[in-house]
Parts: sequence; C-alpha cells; structure tokens
Amino acid sequence: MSTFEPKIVAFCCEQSGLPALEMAKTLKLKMPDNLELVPVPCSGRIETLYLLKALESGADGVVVFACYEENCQYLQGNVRLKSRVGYAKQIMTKIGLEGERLEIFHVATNSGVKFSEFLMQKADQLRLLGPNLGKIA
Amino acid sequence: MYRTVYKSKTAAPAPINLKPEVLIMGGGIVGMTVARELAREGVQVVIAEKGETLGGGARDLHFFYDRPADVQKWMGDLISTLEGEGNIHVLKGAKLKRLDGQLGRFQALVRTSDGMERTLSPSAVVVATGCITRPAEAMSDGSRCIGSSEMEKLLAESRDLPLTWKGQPVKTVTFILDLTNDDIKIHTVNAIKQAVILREKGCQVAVVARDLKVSASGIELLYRQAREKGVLFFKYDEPPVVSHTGDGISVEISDMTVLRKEERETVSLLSDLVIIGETFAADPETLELCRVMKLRAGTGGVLMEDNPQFLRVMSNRRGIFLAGGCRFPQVITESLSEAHAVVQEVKALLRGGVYTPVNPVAEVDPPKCAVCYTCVRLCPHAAIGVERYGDRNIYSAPAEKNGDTLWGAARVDPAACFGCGICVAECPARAITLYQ
Ligand SMILES: Cc1cc2nc3c(=O)[nH]c(=O)nc-3n(C[C@H](O)[C@H](O)[C@H](O)COP(=O)(O)OP(=O)(O)OC[C@H]3O[C@@H](n4cnc5c(N)ncnc54)[C@H](O)[C@@H]3O)c2cc1C
Ligand code: SF4
Ligand code: SF4
Repeated sequence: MSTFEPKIVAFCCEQSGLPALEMAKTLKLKMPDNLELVPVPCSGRIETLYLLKALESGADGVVVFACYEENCQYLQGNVRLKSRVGYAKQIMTKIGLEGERLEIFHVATNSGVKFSEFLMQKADQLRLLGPNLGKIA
Repeated sequence: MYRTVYKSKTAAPAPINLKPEVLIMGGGIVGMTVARELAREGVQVVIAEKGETLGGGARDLHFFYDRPADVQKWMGDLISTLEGEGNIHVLKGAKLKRLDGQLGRFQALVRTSDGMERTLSPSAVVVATGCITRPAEAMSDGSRCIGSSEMEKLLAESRDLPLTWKGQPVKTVTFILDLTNDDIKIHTVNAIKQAVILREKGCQVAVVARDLKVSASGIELLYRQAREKGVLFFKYDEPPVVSHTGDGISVEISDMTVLRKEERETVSLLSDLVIIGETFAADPETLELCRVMKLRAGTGGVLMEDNPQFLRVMSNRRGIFLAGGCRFPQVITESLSEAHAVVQEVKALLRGGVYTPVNPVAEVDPPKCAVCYTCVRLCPHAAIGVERYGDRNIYSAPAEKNGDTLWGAARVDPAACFGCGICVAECPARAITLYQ
C-alpha cells in the first residue's frame, strides 16, 4: 500500500481553475504526482457521465475546479455543475463508492496556492481511502 | 508529473451583418441620452416609450445637486434636440409584444396606443426602463409627512418665495432617511440637496439618518456645504418615533453622541414637515419585459446582475444592453455614465458592420436532436431556438415547409452563443458539439 499513488483527474474551468493552475505552475508549487488535468470552457460543460467515466477508467478521485457561485462568466454554469455532481454522488453511493472521491472546489483566478494545497490534501485523503474499487482497468 | 488533455473541434461560423439600427426601450433621461449620442453617429434610433411623454422619472425632479441648471430646462433642451434629429423616431404609448431573433437579426413587434403594430429589426436593443417608487408606509396618514418628490415640487413652486404647505408657512423641516431602501443613496442625495435649498430659504433643517451615503460624485462636498449652512445631522440606531402634536409633527430619536446606551436621552425634533424617501419597488412591467426579451432579472426585481464578471451595462444576451434606473435606482450622474457606456458598447459592436464570433460556439447536429427543449430552457444566454431546418431526424416526423420536407431541430445562433458548453453537457441525445 505504501507505493499507492492515487490518480486524480481535475477538471479546470478556463475562467478560474486554469489561471489558478498557471499560477501554481509559475510559483512552482507542489502538485500530486499522478494528476490529469482537463480544461473546460466552463464547469457547466462537464457532464455527469464525464465524472463517472473518469472514475470508471482509472481515476481514484475526481476534482472540479469551478468559479465561486454568482461569479460564473456564463451566469449559471457552476450551478448546473453542482446539481450534476449531486446526481453523480447519488449514483456513486448506490454502487458503493465513497462520496469523497468526487468534489467541487471553488477557486478564483489568483488562487494558485489554494489550488495546489487542495490537490495535495486530496491526494493524502485518497491515499488513506485506498484505490478506487470501481475502476475497470 | 501531470498532463493536460484537451480536444476541441474547430469551425469558423459565418460573420453576421449588422445594420446601424437600434431600439431603445424607455424614453427617460437615459434612453434619450443614448438616442441622441447614437443618432449623432448616424445610427437609426427608435425610442419605444410606454407613456405619452418623454422624460421618465426625472420629470419629478427640479434641481440637480451637481449642476447649476434646472432639471426641467435641461430636459426640455434634450427633448427638443431629439425632435430636431432626423435619425430618431419616437413611439409613444408603446409596448414590446415580442422580441424574436438574435444579434443582427432581432425582430421586435411593438404595439402603440393607437392600436398600430409595427415590426422593427434593430441590430441592438437598449433597455432603459427606469425604476418605480411607491409611497413609504410612514406617509400613509397623509398629514405633515410627505415624500421627497412632493418636497421637490413644493420647492420648485415656491422658488424665491417663502415655503408654504397647504397654505401654511413652513419653518422647520426634518428628513428621515434609511427607513426603507437602506442600500440606495438617492435619498441621501435628495435630502442634502433639498436641505441646502431650504436653509437658503431660512428654514430650520434636520436630517435624521442611519448612515449618510455620500459615495456619489460631489456629495461629500455638498454635505460639507450643508453643515456649513447649519443643517443639523443626527444618527439613529432604532428607527425614530414620529408623532403628531397640535400644530406640528415630532420626531424622537435617542442621542447617539452618548456612548452608553442607558445614558442616552431622547431628542425630539418638532417640525412643520417631515420628509420620508419613497420606497423603490420592482416594476411588474419591467419583469414582464424581461420575460418577453428573455433577460434575467437580478434580485429584488431590478436588472442588475450580482455577478462581478459582467460589465455593468451588459445583459445575459449579446446585443441587449441595460442602463440607468432599471439596473438599480441610482442618481442621474451615475445613470448618465451608464448611458455613455452603452453608447460606447453599441458603437463598438456596430463599427465594422459585421459581427464575427470570437468565442467557441455550440452547434446542434439536427438528425440527432430529439427536440426535447432541454438546451433551449437551460442556455443562460437564450441562444437556442427550435426551427425547421434539418434534412433528416431519427426521432421525429418530418414536416412540410414551403414545399420542402424539413425536420425540426434545435439551432444555436452563433452570434448569441457565449460558448459555455452548458447545452452540450445537458443534451440527453448528445446532439450538440462545442467548436473552438
Ligand atoms: C423619488 C426619486 C428621487 C430621485 N432623486 C434624485 C436626485 O435628487 N438626484 C439625482 O441625480 N437623481 C435622482 N433620482 C434618480 C433619477 O430620477 C434617475 O437616475 C433617472 O431618472 C433615471 O433615468 P432612466 O432613464 O434610467 O429612467 P426613468 O427616468 O425612470 O425613465 C424610464 C422610462 O421608461 C419608460 N418605461 C418603463 N417601462 C417601460 C416599458 N416596459 N416599455 C416602454 N417604456 C417603459 C417609462 O415610462 C419612463 O419614461 C431620483 C429618483 C426617484 C424615483
Ligand atoms: S454553449 Fe452556452 S451559450 Fe452557447 S448555446 Fe450552449 S448553453 Fe447557450
Ligand atoms: S437538448 Fe439536445 S435533443 Fe434536446 S432540443 Fe437540445 S439539441 Fe435537441
């Protein structure tokens, strides 16, 4: 178990998550080793299926970096996302997956430090939780 | 280390032609200013005003706090420049029945009070419908407690004469602020402005407020001027108690200059008149207009978005702009700066005569669309409609249109799409793709 390095898939909204990532890169902040980033124009673009597919195809945890509510460039993207994440979590509970494996994290463009801290914490949390048993790979 | 996954198809939507034609809803000070500025640039402007006269809320104002001129004269001048301007057409008693289409292809159906209906095809629409007020509750007993617009009228009527109210001389006046609309500064501005004029007439004036809001341009100076002229200012925590005495009205507040609450004494201000600001209320007609125009109303029935990502005068739809009192009750100077901002935005939009989408846009694959209206309902920018244009559809039956067999399907208007991808994610038939 000591060698288990959880795979995290992070969806990043181009309005907030992506600039925060850029900032984290510029500041050379620590990032988990096994991380895959998926930029999306708006967190509202992310389908329920994407979240579940990510878990199915190898992710131990899925994180969505979205804008704060009432702060969406497209007015309602992050609100739509919230309801989809809620739905995905319902499905996960039904099939016996831990809800912690899927989380929204609200960031602003200048939150590079928060971005990296959150991912490092998530990696620690997932390390304790162990591998995702739902993946088919 | 980490890697980034990104896939996006590319497409170049055709540019959209824009004619220099603009429709303005509301002929208040903001609507008129936008019209005048745009007409000077050679834009054909139609003002649709629901009333029979131009001027809007500013008709009840007589004094500017920050300009020497008289409001009515200034507005009269503005109206006469509009009338002399060939590019401006004013529709009075007008109501917007429908607004179809998108940027560059808007189709507005306007009905006027004479029963005529006309279809306009503006490239952009400006909403400047102002705000409405209703009398504050405290004014309901009607005696010696009046609204600020009535005071404005009394002041305008008396000009160089001593102030009278219902034939009786007025010597002392108290303004009570912040009983309603604690977050709006119009009442502070109005009270200080009127207090200065009242002092010049020799009246004794007190202003009672929870917080004076001096954040409009020039107000701090005006406040200092008022103090120098001897206007008394009192702060309150607990709302003041208003009661009628034999030949006056008394306002009781506790003296906040004493720090300990128990030691505070009650100060009572005996006045001839008490002025209370009207309550700003949501205009049901503006809400109806929002429905017709597919605009999002903000909180409290005003059109302002709480979202800081949005430029002040932008709406959720491309080509529709908001300015003035309909966004938020604000003083004329601020309303006018919004009017100028709208003029700049419209000019920038119409400058080249074409609009080319710069952001990613969504596109529906018509054969896959099940016409479920999910995307139509969810698009925050009202960019999707259902039309008959598909040449095949696996879900629904065909229909005839002009002799051709065409299938119905949702269609995203590239000019109106902001490229958020919400529709792409929600479409149950996975019929929509986002193109870079
Ligand atoms: C009580 C009060 C006191 C004020 N005091 C001050 C002050 O002391 N100093 C100051 O600077 N500002 C003051 N203001 C604010 C000032 O009046 C406004 O900033 C200004 O009038 C806003 O202009 P507008 O064009 O946005 O709206 P308005 O002047 O309200 O004009 C809106 C126009 O749109 C029309 N309209 C409404 N709905 C529709 C519709 N659905 N279709 C077509 N037309 C429609 C209306 O008939 C009206 O003519 C005060 C406002 C109020 C209400
Ligand atoms: S991408 Fe967004 S703005 Fe464009 S049509 Fe879809 S929901 Fe509307
Ligand atoms: S959500 Fe999809 S299937 Fe439904 S109307 Fe829109 S494009 Fe058609």
